[in-house]
Amino acid sequence: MPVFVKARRFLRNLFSSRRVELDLDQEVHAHLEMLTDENIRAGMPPEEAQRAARIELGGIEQVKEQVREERVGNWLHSVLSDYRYGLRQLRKNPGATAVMVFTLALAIGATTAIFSVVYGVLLRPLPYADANRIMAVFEVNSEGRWAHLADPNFDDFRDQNRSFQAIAKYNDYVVSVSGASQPTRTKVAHVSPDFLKVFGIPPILGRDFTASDAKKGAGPTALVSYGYWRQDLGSPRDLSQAHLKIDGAVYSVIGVLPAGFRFPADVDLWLPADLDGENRSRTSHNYNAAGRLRDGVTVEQANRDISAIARRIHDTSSEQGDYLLKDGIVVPLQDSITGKARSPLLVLLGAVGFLLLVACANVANLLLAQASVRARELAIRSALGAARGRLIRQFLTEAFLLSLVGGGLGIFGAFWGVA
Amino acid sequence: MKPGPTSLLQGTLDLLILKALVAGEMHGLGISRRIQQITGGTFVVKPGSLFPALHRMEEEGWISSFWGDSENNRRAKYYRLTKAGMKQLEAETKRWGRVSWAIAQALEAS
Repeated sequence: MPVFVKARRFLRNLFSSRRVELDLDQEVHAHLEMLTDENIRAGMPPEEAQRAARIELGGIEQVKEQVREERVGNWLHSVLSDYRYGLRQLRKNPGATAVMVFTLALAIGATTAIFSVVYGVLLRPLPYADANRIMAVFEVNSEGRWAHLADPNFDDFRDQNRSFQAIAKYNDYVVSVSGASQPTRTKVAHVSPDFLKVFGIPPILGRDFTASDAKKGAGPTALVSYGYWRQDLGSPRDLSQAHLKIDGAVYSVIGVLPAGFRFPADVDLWLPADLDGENRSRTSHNYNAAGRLRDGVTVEQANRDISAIARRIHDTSSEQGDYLLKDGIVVPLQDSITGKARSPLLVLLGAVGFLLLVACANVANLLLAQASVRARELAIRSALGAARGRLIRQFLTEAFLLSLVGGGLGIFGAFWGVA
Repeated sequence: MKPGPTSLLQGTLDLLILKALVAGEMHGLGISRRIQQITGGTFVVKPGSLFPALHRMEEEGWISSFWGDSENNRRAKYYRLTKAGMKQLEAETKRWGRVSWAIAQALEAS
């Protein structure tokens, strides 16, 4: 039962606040008059009776404020009125408000924009299953530089390693493609058959490459991206009639990859590498390589494994010279992609972080300057019965409004800037 | 109810108001004078404490209010006990009995 009483009071306090206030006002005034009557009956002259009554009451506004503090749902009321006061205060000093909002918007916008980039490049994992198990493999040349892989070296890595459950080589080109709805310049990748197994991505339609697709002289086959399948091929469910002409050869489309898979970046067609046969040189660094670690194998173990194979090749190869690999290295694929951008991005992030701090300090200074002007207002408010907590909340509300507007504008700007 | 020393004081005021209203419906000043009378003048409840307490207790559903005419024909807001208020009075009385007994025991301990 009391719960219903409380709920009813809450609604009454919220929606008929004018009547509730009027009621309170009359009650307090009636009390004052009764006190006065009492004093007059006790023999005081009327004026003194009224004065004594006022003293006993202790201030009409203060009593009313104390009652308000006790009401159900008072917090909602007082929060709303804090916002009203806050907005009024901010409108009263349009210049200062504009400067503060602009400062905050600029700093928050810059920080947000840079952080979005840092997040996208450094923090967000690659969108593949267990992406942290996907490694890039490089040769290391006699100067200690990392290099792409030569075909026979990749074959040795692939056949002799004990660390990867799948390893593939790939590179990409832009070529002219005809046979689809219209001829296009399209980015294609040449890949070895295990390429999709490295990323753990099966085709959503059709089939993956098999070893026989990559044999010398095999009929040319192609995997297409989801976007290419929809826009250039017209989304056929049956792929048997889908053929593409690239450099005079006709490729049968055998599979479609899921939307969002574009690796290497922006590739639309994946073709088997080396359909004309491999390049037998151990010093022609033609391919990137990526592999998925076996369960339980660490990056260090994979590194020792690959390094041992690489040194064996170095020691036994007939092609000695500066271009022959001296060692091999394994690093997480994401690090290999973002490696060079990492430090500058972090420096930039730190810089805008400090910019934000400076902006906050500036805004705090402006608010402080206003606060010293507002000492009078504070004195009046507390004389009218505002508790210390209410006054503090009032300032916090104003600061919150400022940051809300500044932050909103900043994020809007950042969104615009990043896009 | 909030913990700490204020909880005892606040509880005491509620108890005294409930007790005062057992005698019948009263306006704020009446309650104040009644408490003064039944405590032998020990407690003088100021309006600044009385009205917040009355409004809080009304919202708890322990007392209800209505407008009526005072003894000298002034409009005044009257309060009366509700059933929930009677129950609360019994509970508070028991609690107060326990507290005062315990304090007395503590003070007598040597």
